[in-house]
Amino acid sequence: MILSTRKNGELHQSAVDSPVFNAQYDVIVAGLGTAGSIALLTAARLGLQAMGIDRMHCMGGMGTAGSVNGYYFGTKGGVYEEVDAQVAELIGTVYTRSSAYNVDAKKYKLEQLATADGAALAYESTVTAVYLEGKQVVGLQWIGPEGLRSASCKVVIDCTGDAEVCALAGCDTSFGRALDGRAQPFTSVKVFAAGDKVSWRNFDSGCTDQTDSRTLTESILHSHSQHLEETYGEGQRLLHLAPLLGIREGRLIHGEDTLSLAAYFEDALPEEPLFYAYADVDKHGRDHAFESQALQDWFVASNLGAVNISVPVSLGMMTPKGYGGLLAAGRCLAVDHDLSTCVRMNRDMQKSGEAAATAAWLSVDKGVTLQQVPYEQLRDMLQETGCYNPEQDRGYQFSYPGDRKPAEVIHWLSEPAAIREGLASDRPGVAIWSCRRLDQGMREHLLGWMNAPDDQLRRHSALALGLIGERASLPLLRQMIRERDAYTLKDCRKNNQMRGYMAIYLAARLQDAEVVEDLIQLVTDPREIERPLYQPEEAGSRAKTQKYNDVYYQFFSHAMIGLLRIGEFHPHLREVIAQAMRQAVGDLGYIKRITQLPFGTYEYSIADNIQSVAMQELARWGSA
Amino acid sequence: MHNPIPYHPLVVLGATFAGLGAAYSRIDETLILERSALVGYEYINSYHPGEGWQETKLSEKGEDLKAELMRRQILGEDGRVHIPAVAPVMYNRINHDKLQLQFHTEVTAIHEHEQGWEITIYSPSGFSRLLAGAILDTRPEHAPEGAITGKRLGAMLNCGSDEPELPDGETLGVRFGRGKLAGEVMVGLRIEKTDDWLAARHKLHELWSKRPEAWQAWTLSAVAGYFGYEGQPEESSWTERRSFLPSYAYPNPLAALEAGIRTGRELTI
Repeated sequence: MILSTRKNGELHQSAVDSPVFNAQYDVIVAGLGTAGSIALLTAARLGLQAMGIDRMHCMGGMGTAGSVNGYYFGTKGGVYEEVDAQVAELIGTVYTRSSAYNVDAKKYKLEQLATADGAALAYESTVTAVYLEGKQVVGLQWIGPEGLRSASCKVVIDCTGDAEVCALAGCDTSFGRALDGRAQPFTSVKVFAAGDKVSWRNFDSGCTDQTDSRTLTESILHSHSQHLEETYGEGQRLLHLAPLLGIREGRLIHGEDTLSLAAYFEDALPEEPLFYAYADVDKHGRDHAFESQALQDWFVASNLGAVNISVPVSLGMMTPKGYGGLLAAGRCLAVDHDLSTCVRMNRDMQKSGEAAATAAWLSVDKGVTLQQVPYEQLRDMLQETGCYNPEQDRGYQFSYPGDRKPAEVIHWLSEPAAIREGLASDRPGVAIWSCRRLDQGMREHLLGWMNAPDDQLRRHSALALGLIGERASLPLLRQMIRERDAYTLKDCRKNNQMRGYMAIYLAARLQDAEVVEDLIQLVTDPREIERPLYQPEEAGSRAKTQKYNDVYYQFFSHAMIGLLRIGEFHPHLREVIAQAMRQAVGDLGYIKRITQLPFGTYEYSIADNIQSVAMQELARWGSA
Repeated sequence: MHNPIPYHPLVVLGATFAGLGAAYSRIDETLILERSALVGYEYINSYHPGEGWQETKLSEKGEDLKAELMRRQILGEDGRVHIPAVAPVMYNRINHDKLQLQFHTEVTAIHEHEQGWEITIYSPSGFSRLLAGAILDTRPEHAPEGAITGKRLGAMLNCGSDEPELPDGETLGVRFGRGKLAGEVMVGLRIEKTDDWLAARHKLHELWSKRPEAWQAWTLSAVAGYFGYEGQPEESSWTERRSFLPSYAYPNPLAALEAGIRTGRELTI
């Protein structure tokens, strides 16, 4: 048998002879957060000998201890709704009303339900090692109040959020985006009493690496410090700072099935869904320019960042590739960084716990491997509880949180007349993306419309042409850059993009050498910031109060990344680009133009990161 | 010969007020190891505001902290305190004062070593070892036998917009207290020392589900994130370069901080 653990940041495996386990279970659920609490509850309810391990002293994770108790999209149905209904009965009678549910009521109800069905709990415990027979997980070791303990099991469901068990076992995982390894920003939550309700407020504090001890500690200190107020008076009464950071993204497993955002756009979807995740590409960060081409094509070039997508999640996406006895549920599912922005919402993560536990039950009950679990039977069980509902395969939708407005189903366009109408409007996103789907099929129409008298149609046709790789769009894209085209499209309820930097992204995507001079001027000219488009519209504007100039940041960051992209394809331009970039970010003056917020804030971190990424890329060119 | 294991003259176990005080006495020489992401939790997160804030004799560091708490209107002249707001103050101070601290770190083993102690820890970076000249343990869960005399589970109440009259003393095992802000009412339910979180939460839930008529309008806004412990404050003694300090047992956080500062200063390294 192999004992697989981590020492000083490195995986460490050693042979162990017949270890004596303190206990044995059918299923161990590691991490009792959003996914794990429902996994444990489901496993116990199905009759499995189940145990749950959690670092905290409660179940529910970010949805309880973390105090993020509202739901943002996701799909309804399944065991979690039954739990929520029981929690609701306690509100106003025993526990104080809250914006959604009272988190202490849910902590209580979850553990009562789980233990009533026989589940064992190991609170204040951290998994430290995995026992393996080859690539079959057969047990776990953890440290808790009673010291190091171990147990054997038939299945481990890794609900740690960070694929901690999978990583300890040696499974392949990934973390963050390709360009700089950064994950989405985390959030920090404070909970307060306001009137007769409990409420909470959060803000994004930067990016962290929660798999690194020192970085995580710094993030906790910085983010919790930012909750400090000048004085504390009547009105909002602080109850506590959440003891968990709101980590939106961690390690992602490489699964038997892995789904990327790019594959999603190509309709290359898993064929055996267990439930549907549903949200927009809710990436939170403002540093769009640092994201992948697939994500920027959608979010920036097509202005569809707030469109919701339905993502089928299969058992293969919960199964670490090549390993047995191990499933993953929660935000570490086998998706890529781009799609993880969407497949992470509380409702869906609870469903992933239910699906994983149900699969574990079938595996144990039938004496088959997890890979051999019959899909139809698993699907039918999940359909019975409402976890799987084929009607939730909604495709693409303009949707609104809290059902503020009815969702609008998106039908991609194929008729030139409809596309022309869309491009001529202030909501051209669907038409632009339709052109991308049709690829060369719309080329001639778009070329013609670029010469039309309608300026909206001309410019949006250039954006669509740029997206399908047509260099004939470049003259108009360059014009939009030179003009710093400040027209903001209106497709979405949030995250609407401005044409000027959409054009920068597309010109760089087309490797346009002619735009380099303009981009250099944008990042190096100290008078750039004086242009009207960068001036807050009014004294009380969001930009001013937040001490952060998002419009300038978008132009500056897209220009910097654009220069790097162009230099990548035009080595003869690297020297001049490198010189300009050093001038642009050589000192911290550029950060002050972007934000007056201090080190430790999210806004400062994304400004600061421009310099880091630029220097890293220039070093790769040999130009640092 | 190069020693690959990092050495710290003093390692403090637990980011309690006493632990922080000890670290303040030797900032550059001290590392604090904390299993959670909390600081000063034995008062702040247990909703145990303490008493006698204005009477506690303070060092310069303690005076400075007290002055900040008063300036921010967290601590009043009457000694009443808005205890949850002490948390961001402490995070900010730790950050600003560059205390060496490591969150989410479990201590898995401690062995004697020629330089003092060898401590094995498990953190997000995995297992690792470090050497300590001395260890000050302030973790209530690791208190010596008999050092904890009582245990409570606290909660913040919502009592509506009124300033209700609260029961004196202890009723049904519940002790009531007021914070500094209007409507800030705390309770602490006496539980068994052996009660774990499951048992403690169940007791509080059961009691509050069947609470007396006079309390009917009061609901649980937030249950404490840490147990309240009771015991007798003790001046620690350094034995074999190891000591325990019951941070939970002092009249208030400032007193616990001072005990930590004194203990840190008394250590001869």
